[in-house]
Amino acid sequence: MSTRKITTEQFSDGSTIDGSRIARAVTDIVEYNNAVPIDAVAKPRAPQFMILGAYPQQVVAGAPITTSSPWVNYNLADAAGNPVFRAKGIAASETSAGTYPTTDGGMWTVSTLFDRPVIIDSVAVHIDSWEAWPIELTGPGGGALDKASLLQILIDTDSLYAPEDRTVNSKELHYRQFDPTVWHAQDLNNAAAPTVDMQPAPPTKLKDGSAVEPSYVIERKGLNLPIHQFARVRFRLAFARKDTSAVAGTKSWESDNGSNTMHPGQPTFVIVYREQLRE
Amino acid sequence: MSKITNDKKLPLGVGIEPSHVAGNLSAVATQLSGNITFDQRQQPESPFSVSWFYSQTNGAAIGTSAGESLHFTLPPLQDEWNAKLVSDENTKSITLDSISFSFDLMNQSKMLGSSTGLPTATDMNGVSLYLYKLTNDPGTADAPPEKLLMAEVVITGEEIVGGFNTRNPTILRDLGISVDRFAVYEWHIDSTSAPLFSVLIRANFSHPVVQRDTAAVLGDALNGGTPVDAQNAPATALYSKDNDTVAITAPAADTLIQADAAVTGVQTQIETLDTKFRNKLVGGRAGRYQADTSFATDRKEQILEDSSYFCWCVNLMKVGNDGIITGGNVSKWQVGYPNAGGNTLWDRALIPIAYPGTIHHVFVEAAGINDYIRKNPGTIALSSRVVEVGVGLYRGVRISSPTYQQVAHTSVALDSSTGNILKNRLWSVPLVYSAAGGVGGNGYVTQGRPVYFGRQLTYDGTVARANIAGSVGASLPEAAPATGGLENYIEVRLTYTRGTGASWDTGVATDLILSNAGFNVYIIGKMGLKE
Repeated sequence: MSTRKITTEQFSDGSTIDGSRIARAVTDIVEYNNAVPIDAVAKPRAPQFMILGAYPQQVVAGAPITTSSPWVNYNLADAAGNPVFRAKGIAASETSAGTYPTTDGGMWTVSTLFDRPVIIDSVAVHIDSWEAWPIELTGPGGGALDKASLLQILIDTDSLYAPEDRTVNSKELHYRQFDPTVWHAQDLNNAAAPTVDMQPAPPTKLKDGSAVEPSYVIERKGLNLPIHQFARVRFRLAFARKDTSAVAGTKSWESDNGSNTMHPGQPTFVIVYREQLRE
Repeated sequence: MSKITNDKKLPLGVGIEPSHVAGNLSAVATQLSGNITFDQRQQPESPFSVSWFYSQTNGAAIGTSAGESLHFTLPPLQDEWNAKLVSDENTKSITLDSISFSFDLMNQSKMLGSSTGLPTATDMNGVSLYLYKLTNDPGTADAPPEKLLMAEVVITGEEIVGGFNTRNPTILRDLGISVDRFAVYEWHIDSTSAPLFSVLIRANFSHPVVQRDTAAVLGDALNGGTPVDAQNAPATALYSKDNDTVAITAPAADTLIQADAAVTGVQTQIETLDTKFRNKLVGGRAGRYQADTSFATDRKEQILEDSSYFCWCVNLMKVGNDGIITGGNVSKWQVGYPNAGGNTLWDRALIPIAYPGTIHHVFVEAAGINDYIRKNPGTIALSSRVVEVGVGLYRGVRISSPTYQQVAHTSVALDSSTGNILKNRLWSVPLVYSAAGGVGGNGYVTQGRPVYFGRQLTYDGTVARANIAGSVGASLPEAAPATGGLENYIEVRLTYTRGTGASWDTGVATDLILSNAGFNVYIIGKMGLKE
């Protein structure tokens, strides 16, 4: 055995054990003990949460609105009228006629800059169904009878060298085309007692089974995605997908009425990450 | 202070004694028996960040109908609370380290149309974010709060239009601003004439590491030294400190100094300590899950402080809208509601319990009630606008019979002074407590002790947890939690009700009911540090 961390002095039978070496070793150890470095700590990171939420707007007479913030179009037209896609890896929205719309909606991007390295731990998305939101949450999957989620979760970091060129982003996570039924949450408890399970009481539709479709509670935990220092990270939820519906002109948000009419209700978007202790 | 002093120095010409070696090493061994404190760690500050979100801002100036701001406070935890509402020698300091600010401009340089969400022909303007400390608490009829500018983040229009490195997101770092623990702070965004979409303010703070809420910690702080569990806490045997036992045996006087001798050899003793550090020092017992069985092979704790301060901002009712919000903008989402006929706006958030922790304080901010609305509420007086907020533990998110355990709850009209911290804006939401006995907690209002939350592994379907009160001021004594110790989400619910019985849009289509800032619920507590 040897001493590797708290002092460089080594003692062994048959070699000198003099007072000055002992004094030096003890001093090393006391100093180490009085200023324990982080590499001697087993749990050196603090979990942190970003808990984001959005609420749908409602168009009223005299105030025409054609957007549905924070969801904005995920592709735009360039000078030549060709679509420019904002997120690497999100499939372009293609109409059934085979063309790409340039004013289609459906991406919520929130970005931040981490000035220290972090580890993305978990991502969770919750979408309620107590109201008949216009957005379709599922669409055709790979087979004729199955369904796949239309929602995509994407985390990407900008390139250090070309931060404005989204085509060279690094994709840290892309969760897509999953079977959404595994994330369906049941209605809340409608048992006689307690009548109100928690204050304030929820809307009746969340309790009595009359919701249009199940709520989603998606959680991906234990991701452990390392994010470098000074990373510009974009967290995105997108409803973009190639349309395979029989309805001509139907867009990725499954509507002919423009992106302003579309929104997935009142989502919660939670990002959990861990950051190291500091001086 | 737990640092040790090398008080057994070896002087020249003096015979070496056992205490010269074993005395100091023994002091280190005592430290490693669960007593390594924050002041002897090179990195004792745990970071925490708070994130505020807007679906869309209006780009209006302060004092106009849509000029809006956000308010927050970062009070001390219950176990270091000062009833006089001043910082004392036990109050940990919080430092604001950095501010990250961003919005979604769709990767281009033009303003987005406030009603279209599409690029316009106009170049983007500069955008500023200000952080103020409020220095007074004005009434509804008074002028807006007086405030001190603490920090300012500026993104110039040129930086965005230049298109090479837009500084969006941007960051202001190495700030080192000391936060007053009992003060209220305000964010304000100034984006002249340009609406901003999907705005995120993320402020990063630091606070010294703290001990988790064992019965001993809460007993010292809340119960005169007699241990008392946090509400809903795991069994003491699984949650109290499980300290390592490290010992150094001094050799008998006048014996030979040996290197490798068992027990008393110099090298043997140093290696005993070295191995502890090399294996990394442990603080905290639970990982992502709390186990319901104590394992003999669990690693013992060498470190005293194993948790961090956190403040979550739960962003609710963030209505993205072109301008201010009238009843007509949200009336479609009014819900038929057990005690109020269709005049209630509802929102909730589900937060996964990624790691265990305890909740110490909850606040609700009516961020969307800006100074303009306070002075010009129209026909819906502030007293007729009621916000109700509840925080609960949620068990069985994807099973057919989920259960809840209430953690905090309040219902206040916007002119209410009950638990009010900033008039018409910010209220303390009490944690549940029983009026029929039990040890109370500390805070701005009468409230319960901290409430534990954590996912649990169970091998037989039942989990022992400490009792918890059923509601705020419950008439019944504390009892076993309804969630049975198996919570896996925290749910935050918020309703905004027009108290006069009419729905929000009835006859008051021009009245401003909210600005885009919506509501924020702040949940403050301790969470365990992790790998």
